[in-house]
Parts: sequence; structure tokens; C-alpha cells
Amino acid sequence: MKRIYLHQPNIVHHRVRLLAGKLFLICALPLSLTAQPLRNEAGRDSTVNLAYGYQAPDQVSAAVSAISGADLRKTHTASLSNSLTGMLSGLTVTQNGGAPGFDDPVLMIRGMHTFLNNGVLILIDGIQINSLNNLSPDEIESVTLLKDATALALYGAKGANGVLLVTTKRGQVSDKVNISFKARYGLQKAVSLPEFAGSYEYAKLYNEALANDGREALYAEKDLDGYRSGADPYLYPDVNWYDEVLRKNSYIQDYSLTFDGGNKTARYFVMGGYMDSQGLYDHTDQEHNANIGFKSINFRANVDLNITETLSAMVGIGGNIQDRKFPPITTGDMWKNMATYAPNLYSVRTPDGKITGTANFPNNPVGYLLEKGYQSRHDRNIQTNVQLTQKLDFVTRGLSAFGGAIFDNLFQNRYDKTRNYAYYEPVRTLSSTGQDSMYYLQRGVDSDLTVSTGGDYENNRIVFRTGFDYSRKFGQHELGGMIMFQQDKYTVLNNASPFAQQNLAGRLAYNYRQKYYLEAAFSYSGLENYAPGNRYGFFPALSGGWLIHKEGFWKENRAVNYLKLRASAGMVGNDRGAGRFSYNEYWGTASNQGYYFGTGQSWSPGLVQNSIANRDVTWEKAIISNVGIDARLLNNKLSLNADAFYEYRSDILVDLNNNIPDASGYSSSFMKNQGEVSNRGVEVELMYNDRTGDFGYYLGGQFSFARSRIEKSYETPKQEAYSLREGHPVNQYFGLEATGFFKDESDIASSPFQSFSPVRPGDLKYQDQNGDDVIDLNDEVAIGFHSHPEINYTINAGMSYKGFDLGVLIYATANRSVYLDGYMFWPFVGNSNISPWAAEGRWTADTHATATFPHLTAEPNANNYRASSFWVRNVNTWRLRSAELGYTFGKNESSQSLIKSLRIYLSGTNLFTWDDLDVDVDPETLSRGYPVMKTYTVGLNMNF
Amino acid sequence: MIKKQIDMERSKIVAAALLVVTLLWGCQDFLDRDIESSFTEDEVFVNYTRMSQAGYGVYSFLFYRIGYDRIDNAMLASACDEADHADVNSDIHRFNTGFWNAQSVPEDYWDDFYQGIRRANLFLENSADYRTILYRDTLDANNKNTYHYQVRDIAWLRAEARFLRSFYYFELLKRYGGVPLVEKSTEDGDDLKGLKRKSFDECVTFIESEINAVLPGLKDTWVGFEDEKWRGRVTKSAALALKSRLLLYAASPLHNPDHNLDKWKKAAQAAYEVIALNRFALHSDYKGLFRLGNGADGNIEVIFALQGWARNDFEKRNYPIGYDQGGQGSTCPSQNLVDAYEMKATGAAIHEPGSGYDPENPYAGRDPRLAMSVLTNNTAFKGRPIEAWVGGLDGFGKPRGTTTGYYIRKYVDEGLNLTQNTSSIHTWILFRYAEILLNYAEAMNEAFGPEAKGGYPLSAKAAVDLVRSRPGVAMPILPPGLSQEEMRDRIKRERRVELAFEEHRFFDVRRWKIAEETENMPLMAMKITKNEEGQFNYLVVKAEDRKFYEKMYFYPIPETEILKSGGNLVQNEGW
Repeated sequence: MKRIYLHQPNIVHHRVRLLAGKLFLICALPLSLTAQPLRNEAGRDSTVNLAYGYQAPDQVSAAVSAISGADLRKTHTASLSNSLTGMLSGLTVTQNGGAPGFDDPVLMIRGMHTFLNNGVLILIDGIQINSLNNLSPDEIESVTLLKDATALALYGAKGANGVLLVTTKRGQVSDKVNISFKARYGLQKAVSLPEFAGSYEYAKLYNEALANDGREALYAEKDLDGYRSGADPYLYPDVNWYDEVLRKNSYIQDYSLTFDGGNKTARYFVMGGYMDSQGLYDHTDQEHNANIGFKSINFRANVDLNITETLSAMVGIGGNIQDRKFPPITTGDMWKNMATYAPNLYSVRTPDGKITGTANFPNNPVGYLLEKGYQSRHDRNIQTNVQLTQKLDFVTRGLSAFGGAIFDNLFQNRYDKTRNYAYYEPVRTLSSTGQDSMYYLQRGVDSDLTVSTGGDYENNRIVFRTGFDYSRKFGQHELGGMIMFQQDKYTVLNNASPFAQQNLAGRLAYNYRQKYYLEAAFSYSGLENYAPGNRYGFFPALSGGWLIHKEGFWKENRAVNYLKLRASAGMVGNDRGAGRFSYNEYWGTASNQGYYFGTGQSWSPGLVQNSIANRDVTWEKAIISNVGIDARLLNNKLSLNADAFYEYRSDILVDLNNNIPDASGYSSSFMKNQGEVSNRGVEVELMYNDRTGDFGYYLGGQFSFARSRIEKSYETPKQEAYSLREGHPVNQYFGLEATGFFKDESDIASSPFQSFSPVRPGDLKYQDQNGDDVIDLNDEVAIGFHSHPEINYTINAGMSYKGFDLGVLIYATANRSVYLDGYMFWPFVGNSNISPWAAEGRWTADTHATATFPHLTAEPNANNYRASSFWVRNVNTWRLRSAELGYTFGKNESSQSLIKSLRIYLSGTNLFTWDDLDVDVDPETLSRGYPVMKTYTVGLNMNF
Repeated sequence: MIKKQIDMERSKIVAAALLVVTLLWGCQDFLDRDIESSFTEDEVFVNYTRMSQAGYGVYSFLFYRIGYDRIDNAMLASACDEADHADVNSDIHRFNTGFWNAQSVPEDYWDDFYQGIRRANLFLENSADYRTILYRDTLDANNKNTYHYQVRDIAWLRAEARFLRSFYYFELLKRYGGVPLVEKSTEDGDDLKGLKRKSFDECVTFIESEINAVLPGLKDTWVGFEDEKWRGRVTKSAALALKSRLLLYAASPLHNPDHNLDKWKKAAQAAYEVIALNRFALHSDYKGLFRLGNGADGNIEVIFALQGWARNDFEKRNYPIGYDQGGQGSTCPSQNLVDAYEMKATGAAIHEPGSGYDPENPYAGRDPRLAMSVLTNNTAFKGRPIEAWVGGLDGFGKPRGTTTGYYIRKYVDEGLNLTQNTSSIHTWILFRYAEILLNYAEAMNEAFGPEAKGGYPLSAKAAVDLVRSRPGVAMPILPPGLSQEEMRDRIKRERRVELAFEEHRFFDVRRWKIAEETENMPLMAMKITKNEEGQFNYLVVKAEDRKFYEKMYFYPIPETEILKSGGNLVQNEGW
């Protein structure tokens, strides 16, 4: 298990391979077969980072995928997690909109494993972190995705949902200092902004809705004329809030400078980075108000020292300073207000420039943005790690001991400057001449900006680790192993008690003639969250690999150059989803639980049972098996990796309260580890690359599929078996099956009774599943899929010619559904506006044959606005996630010049999105909240 | 060579050090962590403070299930013929459209009240040994007084918890009919699934015996005790008042289809027990009665009240739409209710010949309680007259404005300044003496007839007359010689008027079995227009149609509960 450092005189030459770097890292490319030694940008060899160690690709019999730090620069996003989209097979990244500093996506590895918490474990250099977003791509050597039991067993009760392992860059032996400077600037635009009706349309349709409800029109003909002519923007305003609040473009820029080098005794890597991303809000001055924005400074210094011939040290320090500024309103509310505040509500300002607002709609989006002040959050994060390795060959050859400590600290505080402002409510009066006139009624008063600080948050984690490594060859046999003990304590400011973990973990690897590989991994891990006696668990895994192409009988086969079969099985745990110390029954005070006694308002708190003890509470247990194949064909031009897995998760916490009559009187849940979920899937990666002379190209892709099934759920009983969640995937949508719209009163009379609210022609009509002639919740069936995709696939293609290179990445999802509910889709509900989708498709007596949307109503229509197949739609999505065109100068110049290489490039992120929804919204966020951004980037990489 | 040896030595030291450190870490009780801010179950019933706090916790299920903002911000009054809720989005409208069923009831408190019952059970079970616990905790000769004080107080609290448990059972009873009786907290799923409903009468017997059992242990009054700091706690009178209401319901047509006179006699007796306390009388200010703050039980009329907190959300919702920050979707009293207020001069209903009612001036000369309960057009409120006419500031037809031409006045604090966010304590009276008198009158009329005394000092008529002639209202007393039938109708009208919006009507129309009639009538409104001369024109119009089916006399038990029980729990008829 020795690292092989390879030097690559001409980095650019292997651009094609680097673009497909992740494939190369995992495809077990035997080094001897490459004409040109492989080296990724950080100068690393092709070892694969695994839990608490690394292996040569041949050795790996677990299911893992990996990418290099360079791949993370393909997309230009403010948070690093978004750069993982489509990069690692088995990882699903769901974008959460593009608000700078608040765009952390949801990560999911191999689909859903449990109906509780599917959160993944993220580690950087061996320490658990909460989010990848504190990192800069330029400090990262590789990101490895660990997927199966062998890869995860060492994480014991924390690993079963999958692990993302981030390894930072380290220095190499070099005769000079390698300096690299990277810069890029991106112009951002919303992928799409929602469209809603203007005032005339809105008023007309609102009248229509009222008429449908049998109510009087709200807008007289005169008003409609006023809106149509738009002559008086104060009396008849027509405001598009997106136009008023937003600017067309925002920007993102980042710069980094790295140094690395060293000699036999000391090697170093140092990076400093700066990133600045500003949002879409217009007219802000950052002093009295603020655009939403995110600035971050990142630094990292990693040093490797050979203290003596046998004692070496790895020392690292890294951190970041993040500053976020934003308007004093949640981003969700800001965008909801822009979407729902009616265009005719009021003009943005009064004729003399004052902010408008009404009692019912006080939060004029422009007023809130520009007059209310701002808030800001400041994060300070630092990590340090020190590890010593002592060779113990004097005990036995190949043995070494290591020990180290890692510390991670995050401090966050707030600095808010806010104020109240006066706003003016337009009041319409009928003047003596019979003309409408208007005056403004002041509401509230202006106050000075007041500063509030605090809101401090702090967490820190400290890890100690010691252990032994062993690696030795005996003739044809090779034996390697590792055993270690780790202690991990995580403290959150003001939290009840720190989180603590102890872990004894190890791995034993054996191979015969480097052809037959066997590996056993285990952990014996303990967590503070369980009852004494139930705290420790044993998690074993076993795997094997067979390099078939090394067999004598294979030599003849020239089409297949490399072929490895892998298989693994084992058990891993997941402790997420449980309350703290739920083995105890806790009593305490709770809000509203108590009483007022006496003549004033003096509160006597009640001491109440907050939970019912689950004495035997334990973690979820996952039995995961995996088979895989790694192959290279056609003179190594085509590489193939495929995995298939099956996981059975048991001991998932269920609430027995679902099944116990409410006469029990439990006010809390009654949890037991009795739920079960199975999960199965495949991942395939293909990559073909070739070059002739100056022309090189590659074409590849990945496909991953995962489907879960709830085996035991202990859910609330249902009258009809088809309504049960059991037997369906986790988060499966359920609802009524909409069969169309009621044509007329006789259609209503002759159809089953719909029990939610009175129905009229144009309302949704549902299928009576159980034939009881009543449509109610017992007619709910599984519809569509769920909000996460079962299938992700990417297409990855590129070419290079002389100095030019071109690459594209398409990311697609399938077998996913969306639920079109709420203010974006339900016109006039909760005072929302109406979209062209609803307006154009709406049912009317005339359009009943072709209508695609129910008739309009201003009432909360419980019949239509509920989960049904009308609102739950399957959606397939394709995104041109990235496209990049680059040119490298000085390809053939001697390495004597100051600049060793210079590459400039143009790239785009999220340039195009296709989906098969009939409504014009972003298929991932449904255009709720801050939009997903597309970015046009110009960049520069220089090496000195 | 030497260097190598040194290196070797050092290697050993480093290795040894690593090993030692590992062992040290491993030896610690590293995983022993706990939440120090909460108690585990064996740390609660150990002393007076914590034990009494566990008792206070039993009270909290009174909040939110009775009073100001009940069902999606609406008052229960809007679920019967008393009122309409102006906000069309509120869930309460389903009560009136008839679109509710076992899968979804707008007011689903099955779970809630059983939680209250469990909390009482847990307190009662764990504090059963309170004397020993308190003795251990105050073990010291000097603490004898402390011990006695604490023992006395926990004994009261235990009686109060049993009262509250009975109160919660009665809340279930009046909605669902007979329910399973859970007298001990249990976590055994099979036991719970096996629970069957007791009959209505069995539940009544249980609650009645509970009340009788706790009566000696309850304090007479908290007024004048320890600086008034315990006012609002349960008293003996509260328990007697609950018994009166319980037995009245049990004797009513819905639950007493055979018209068993003994039940009416028991109800009369129970009401008389409160009257016989001689503690209560009618308050002089009918309007002010509903604005008494906490400790309202110090008032002569108030028997037991739900203590509240300083708030203005009720006013924000119920001030007429034209007032700053008012009218967020309010309670609009119905024409049906307004019509029930008699003429002051004649004591006659408005539609009776010779009543003196003037449809052109409909609010003049009416029972004074109308003006104290309902804001009618052109009456002064917060310094200006209400403009409830079409096109007026508080006008009929304005979005979120009144849907009936009226706003509610009872309970509303007129003195709040909503723009400055001022608030006041809102207490809700649960039992008051006027109700007891009307309970008594109703039971006496059924048991003995309108003017018979049946051995008591007071006849049904005399009890109604007491209420009618209450100070500040002074309605003419009922004419003599009414038949039992006529007296029954007068008592119903009196209850409707006297107890308007107090969460009686909703249940009264059920227990009288008249809901199929009253709740199927359209809800009426007053459409007021103002002519050029500034005169008002009053026109009664329909506000909305309402639907009530026979099955709705009882709520359905939640369907999931039926399913969970595997058939042990039987659904109410028709659901």
C-alpha cells in the first residue's frame, strides 16, 4: 500500500483524461498499461481514498466513485455541493434555488434507505462536517463517494446512508515551487422567472372567479377599463413585482492562489481563495439595505514532514471566513410576496415617492427590500489536524502506528440593522364629481436603523485517533491491515449535551498474486444517545475482487484489456432520525402547558411528560450487498464500471402511536425500532476516449437507478389496502385519481358524491376506487412517484484539438413526480395571483371540452385543491449542466518560461433546461423561492 | 548505526505513548451524557414544587378548546345559527355546508381531551403517595408547617385534577356520546385497542360519581386566600355547576328519548344544589361581565372561568372592518339570533302582534342585551357610529367585512388601540349563575311544570324571571299561566339570548333535538342601504344556506380510531 508519486511533465496533454477524471480514478487502470503516466492536477497518483485510508485501484473491491477537485470547477456555483451534480454515480443533488449563501442542495446517495432521515455523512480529512459548502474546489484533491458495506462499515452506526469523503490537497516533492493562479467571473441570470397575470387580466379573472362562486363582481367595468388603459398608474396600478425588485443579472467571481512543493523532509500545499456572489435584488446600497450576497475567504495549509526516517507527521490547517448579507425577510417570503402580491394592489410608491402598503398587505416587496434595513451573518470556521505516523518495522516488518487529533470549530454571529418605516395605504374615494380619487393613509412611522447583534451559534468537534497500519508481502501473498480507535465529541452551543462517539474500526486485506483480493472491514462503534448496554454495536463487512484478465486463459482475449469482478456484503448502521436520549422518559415544561392563576397574568408552568421512553432504542441496521464489474475494452479506449446493490434496512423507528388508539392520551410519540425498508438499484458508467494526432475526444455517461420499498411501516391503519404506504417507495405520493372536470349539474348528480366541499361544473372529478359511491380519503391511491428521482443519468462529452478543448455535461433525472400545490399553481388561494397556465387552461362553460384547468374560484375549494393526479405530475428533466470551451497557450513552449501554462476558457452552467411539464416553472424548485441560476463564466488558469 | 538506535528508541516511545493515550481515552465514561435541563420520570414526583407543577399541567387542556379562537380562528358560534364567520377560508364553514365526516371534523378534539385525561391520570397515579413523598422531602421537625401546607395543597390539586378529568370527559360526551373510560394511564397497546365505548348513561354515572367523590376535597373558594394568587382554581361550586350541566344534558331529549322524568328531577336537584349555596347572584353589568379579567370567579355571578392572557387577536379579528387593523375575518351575528331578542316594553317576540317592533327601525326598543351582545348599524363604537350599510366604512359586502350586517360586541374590548398593539386579558367564563338558573328552570318545567315548585323554593318561571329581570336588563317577567310547552319555548329563547356566543347554542340545539330544524334554516342577514337623505333601509336577505343531517347530532369518531381498534370501537350511527 505504497503511494506512487508520478510526475507529469505536460499537464495539458492529458486534459481529456482529466475532464473524465472521476472515471479514471475508479476504473482501476493498471498503471503499467498507460503509455503516459496518469496524474491529476494536484499531482496525485491514482490511489483511491477510502475510509481511514486509501487503496490502489486494483485492490478496491468496494463500491466507490470519485472525482478530482478539478472536476468541481466545471460548474460555477457559490456552494460546492452544487458542483457535485452529475459527477458521482449514485449521488443525487437536488438544487434548492440559487440564493447566494443559502443554496445548499439536498444530497442523497443511492436513493432512499429509510422513511426517516436519509442524510449523508460528509467528512473532510477524516472529520465529520455539516456541509461541503465551506470549501473551495481548489483545496480539494478528491471527493470519494462510498456506497457499499465494505466502504461504509468502518463508520459503524453513522455510515449506512452513504458517505462523501473529501480529501484536501497535499504537497509533492518538487525541485521548484509550483504556483497556480485561477480566476473566473460569472454573470448570472435566473433560469426562469414565474409569469403572472397583469392587472387587467387579474381583475377580469377575479371577477370571473367570483361569478363562478355566485358572488358579485369586485371590479366594475370602469375599473377594468382603467386597468386596460393603464393611464393612471396610481389609481389603476399594474405592477410586476419581479420587474420592480430584481435586476437582470447578478454575478459570481472567485480567485485562488496555490503554492505547493517540497523535498524529502518537508512538503507543503498552501491555498488562499476568495469568492464573491451577489444576488438579484436591485437598487440596494449595502448600507441602509442589502442585496442578498455571500463573500467567502478560504485558506488551507497542509504540511507533510519526515521527522526521522521512521517518524512522519501530517499537519493541516484550513478555514474560511464567510459573510452573508440579506434583506430582513426570509428569502422564501420575499419571493412569495413577489409572486402573490396582486398587480393591482398598489403602485410601488406614492406619487411623491413614498412606499405603499396596506393593513392586509403591509410588506410591499420593494419597501421591505429598500426601507427595512438588512441582516447579516458572519461565519468563522477553522479546522486543524495533526497526525503522526511511526514506522514499527522493528516490531515486525510493514507495521506502523499512527495517532492524531483533529479539531473543527464554527462560530456564527449576526449583525442586523433594521428599522420600521411608514407606508401609505391608498384609499379610494368617490369625489363630488363622481370621479374616483385617491388619498394616502399613513400607517406606521419611520424609525432610525437600530443595530442588533448576537444570535451566536457555535459548534466544535474534536476527534482523537490512534491505530496501526500493516502491509507486507510474503511471496505471492500480500497482507495489509489497519486497526484504529477513534473518539469524537461534537458540541453545539446551548445544546443540552455534547454528541459523543467511540469507534474501534479495522480492515484486513489479502491478495494472492494480485489476482484474488479479499477484504474484511469492521467497526465496533458506540454512541452516547442510547441506553447503557445498548450503546455499542458491531458492523462487519466482507468483500472480494477477481482480476480475471490476469488469468492465463484470458490472455488470448484482446478485446477486453481489463476485467475485474467485485462483490461485497455487510452491515452498517444509521443513527439519524432518533430524538436525543429517547431511552429516558423526560418530564419538563413546555409551551402553553401550565395555567394562569390569580387575578393578573402570572403563569404557573406545568411539568408534563414530554416523551415516553423507548428503553431499547437503537440505530437502523442496513444489510447491504453489492456486486460490481470494472472493465476496459478496445485497447483501453472504452471503460465500463457497473454496480448492482440490494439493501435491507431494519430497526427503523416507527411511532406505535399510529396504531394505538388515541384514547391512550399520549401527547408524544411512542417510538420503537420496528420499521423496515428495502432498496435496490444499479449504477453504470461508460467512457470512451480516443485520440488521433492532435485530436482527442471522449464520450461517456453514467446511469443510476435506485428504488426503495417500505416493507414494514406500522402506519396508521387505512380502510383500503391500496391506501397503505407499505409496499410503496419511500415518500410515494398519494392522492385521488382525477378523471376530468364535471361537465354540468347532471354529471354531478350522476357521479359519486364528493365529500370535501360542494362541487360545481368545472370542478375536478375523481375516481371512486372502492366503489362505495362516495369520494373521500379512502379513494386515495399511489400516484406517480415521489419528489426525488429514481433515475439520474448524465452524458459527458468532449474533445480537444491542439490547444483547444471543449466539454459538455448533461444531467437528467427521471421517475420523479412533483406536486403542483400552493401559491404558484392555485390561483386566488391565499390571495395569490394567477399564472397563464391556469388562465389559459381554465374551465368555462364554453371551453369545457378542451379545458386543462378547473374553473376559477375565489373560495378555498377543498375539492380541487388537494393531492390528486391532477396536481401530481411525473416529470423528466434534462439540464445542460455545464459546457466549457478552453484554449491553452504555450503548450509546446519550453518549461523555462515564467508561465508554465496558461489556459483561458468560457463556460456555462445550467445553460438550458428541458422538461416535460406543461406548466412553465423550473422542474426542480417549481419556481418557489429564489430561482435556480444560469451562469456564463470567463476564466483563467495559470501555472508558474 | 547510533542514529538508527536512537530512532528505534524514539519509535518505541512514540508507539508506547500512542498506546497509553488510546487506553486512557478508552477508559473514560466518554459516552455517559445526559440532558440536565429536564427530569426523568423518577425525578418529578419527589417534592412539592414539581408535584404541584405536574398538577398545573392538567389545567392546560382548557386552553384553545373553548373560547375565543377555536376552529381555524372562528368562534363556535359561527358553527350554528348564532353567527357566520366572515373569512371564507376558515375550516369552520364545513360545519355549515355539511361537508364533514369521520375522516375530517373541523373540531376534532377526540385526541386532545384524552391527552388531558392521561395527564390527569399520570398526576393522580404518581402523586397517590403524596403524604410519604412530602414527608420525606420535608423531614425536619421545623418543617412541620411546611409539610402540612404542602399536604393540604396537593390534596386540593388532586381533587382539582379529578374534576378536570371529569370536565374533559364531559366535553367528549357532549360531542361523541358515550366514550371509552380510561381511568388509569396505560401504555399497553392491546389493552387500548380492546377499549369499548360505554353508554352515554354509564359515562354520566361515572362523571357524576367522580364529582360527588371530589366534592369534599375541593376548596369552597379561592377568593380571599393567599393574596388572591390562586383565583381561577377549581372550586366546589365549579364541580356542582358541572354536575348541573351534565345532568341537564342527560335529561335532554337527545339522551333521554323516553322522557324519563327522574332524569329531569335529578337535573333540577343538581341545579338547585348550586342555587342553595347562596353564594351567587346576577351581576349588575351584563356587558361588563364578559370583560372581567382573570380572577373573574371573585364576581358574584361567575362560578368558574378559563383564565386567559393579554391579547388583541380577538379584537383584530372582530373589530369592524373599517377600524384600523380590524376585521381580519370576524364573527358576524346572524339575523336569526338578532330576531330572538324580544321587545323591551312588551316582552313579546318581534313578530308577535302588538310587540311594538318597527321593521324600519329594527333595533329600537329591544331587549337591552341585544346592544350589549351585537354591534348593530349606526350604533356608536370607538367614537363613531358603525357604518354597516352597503358602501359604508364597515359595509356589508366588503371583502372580509360583515356578511350579515352585524358585528359581535360581547367579549370585545372596545378600549384597545390596535395600531399601538395594546392588549388586555381575555378570560372566558365557563360556568355562571344565569346558566344555572336556566338549567334549573328547564329541568323544573319538564319535571314539575312551569309554575310548580316540586318541593323547592323556586319554580321554573321564577328562575327564568330572575334572569329576565337581571339588573341593567330588566326585561318584563314572563306572563303567568304559560303551558309547559310554551314555557319550554320561552326557556329556549331565553337561553339563546342570555347565553349567546357562549358555546351553549351549538350544543343546546343538539340536545333539544331541534338542530334539524334550526340548522337547516338559511342563515339570514340584514342588508342595509342608505338613501340620499341619509335614511336607512333595512332588508332581511339570505346570507347562506346551511345543512344539518340527523347523524350530526353526534360527531363521528375519527375513522382511524375505529380502524385502530379493530372493530372494538363502534362508530356513531350514520357516519
